[in-house]
Amino acid sequence: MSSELFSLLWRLGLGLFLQVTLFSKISFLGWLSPYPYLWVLLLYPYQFPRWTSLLFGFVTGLIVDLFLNTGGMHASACVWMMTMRGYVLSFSVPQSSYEGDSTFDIEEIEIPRFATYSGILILLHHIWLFTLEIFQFSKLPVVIFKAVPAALMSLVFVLIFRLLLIKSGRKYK
Amino acid sequence: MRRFLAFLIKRHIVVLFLILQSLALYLSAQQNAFQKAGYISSSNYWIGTYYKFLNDAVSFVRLSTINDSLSAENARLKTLLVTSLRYDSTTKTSVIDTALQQQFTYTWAKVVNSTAHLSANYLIIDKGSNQGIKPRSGVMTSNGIAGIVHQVSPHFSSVISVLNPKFRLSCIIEPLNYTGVIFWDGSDYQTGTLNDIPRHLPVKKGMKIVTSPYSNLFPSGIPVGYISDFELPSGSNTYKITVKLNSDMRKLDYVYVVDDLLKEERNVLEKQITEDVQ
Repeated sequence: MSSELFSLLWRLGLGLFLQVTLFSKISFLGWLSPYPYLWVLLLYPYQFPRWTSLLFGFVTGLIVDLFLNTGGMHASACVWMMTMRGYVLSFSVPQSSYEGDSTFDIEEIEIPRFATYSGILILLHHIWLFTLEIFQFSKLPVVIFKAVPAALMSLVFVLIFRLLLIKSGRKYK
Repeated sequence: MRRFLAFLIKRHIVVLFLILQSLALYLSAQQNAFQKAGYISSSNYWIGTYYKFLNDAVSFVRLSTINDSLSAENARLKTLLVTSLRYDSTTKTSVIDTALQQQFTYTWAKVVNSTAHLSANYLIIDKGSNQGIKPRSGVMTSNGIAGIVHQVSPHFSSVISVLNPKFRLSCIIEPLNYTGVIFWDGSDYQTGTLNDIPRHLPVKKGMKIVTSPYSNLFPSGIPVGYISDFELPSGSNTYKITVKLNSDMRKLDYVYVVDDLLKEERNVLEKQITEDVQ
């Protein structure tokens, strides 16, 4: 438990630092900006009670909001994503392979399944975020138009993090 | 009551989701209200300091471009000096200095953080209330306009960028001397939209757009951009004009905050008028 907490905080620091200093400065084609800090939320330990994951998402999103001047939009999108996490996990990884397994670790899901899991959640997060962000313009098609490429870009960075920083997937195929 | 509590415990994820969502949405609504101070804002001291540190580390690489733009501005200002004008009249008059009253003062500031890709963009500058920056002052770049001061803390200020749906500024098409309102439609970081220009005016591409004397944020005649495209929507009496902005909102370094010394006096009169009308 304490080692998991330690690595969680370590990831939180690293993820937020990179997001604020580097990734928020990227604006590809003038409007496309990735949010790979979601990596921190995607790897939130599954054993911790589910309500803590919502709170964790809220706090992480709020810190990003502070730096990006977005009020509470990221907090809102992160809480939404963390609520959906359980459902998405249950159909991207066979539930039987981790149910009741106290050593189950999302870090150890092998890459293709991890990509499905992250891809769906990132897309959900981005659609929510861009909907809030663009609310003032009332242009709904723009939301999908922006969310899909931005989600792909975030997913690529999340997978790069996953490959660089973690033990290789050995279980939960 | 007990059954209600049991229900809350059973559905605690949904309950928590609703609580956190309403809190987050409340915070972003606060941020969107123009006059109110948002609770979650990067004009906060610690975040401003962090961005300043980051900016100091990066700005070194861009010193030569900054120098170029500053010397170009110096050249432009030198041509405006009295010494570079020739007095072309036979009767000579002397300028009595006391007749000229200072109306605008400028404070320079460094942009420590900015965005141009969001739907509502802000800048953070490294001057705040300690340096006399006031909310709702205009912010200019060396060749155009950049935004309006939103909130101030002792050392930093947040600025509503031109690329923000909250930004509205009264401008004139210089050759026609006709006033319209410029705002950002959210699509392109290089262009704004000018409205309220009636269809009978001979609008042409390339006409200069400058700030109007109606605005109490900027001195009049500050260049904003030029007309890059225009159309007359069918059934409409006014043009939809696309304005190419002079300032490059993705490469802001130094800006000037305008302080209008006569603003209060003017505001009192304008407020009086609106009260009389009501």
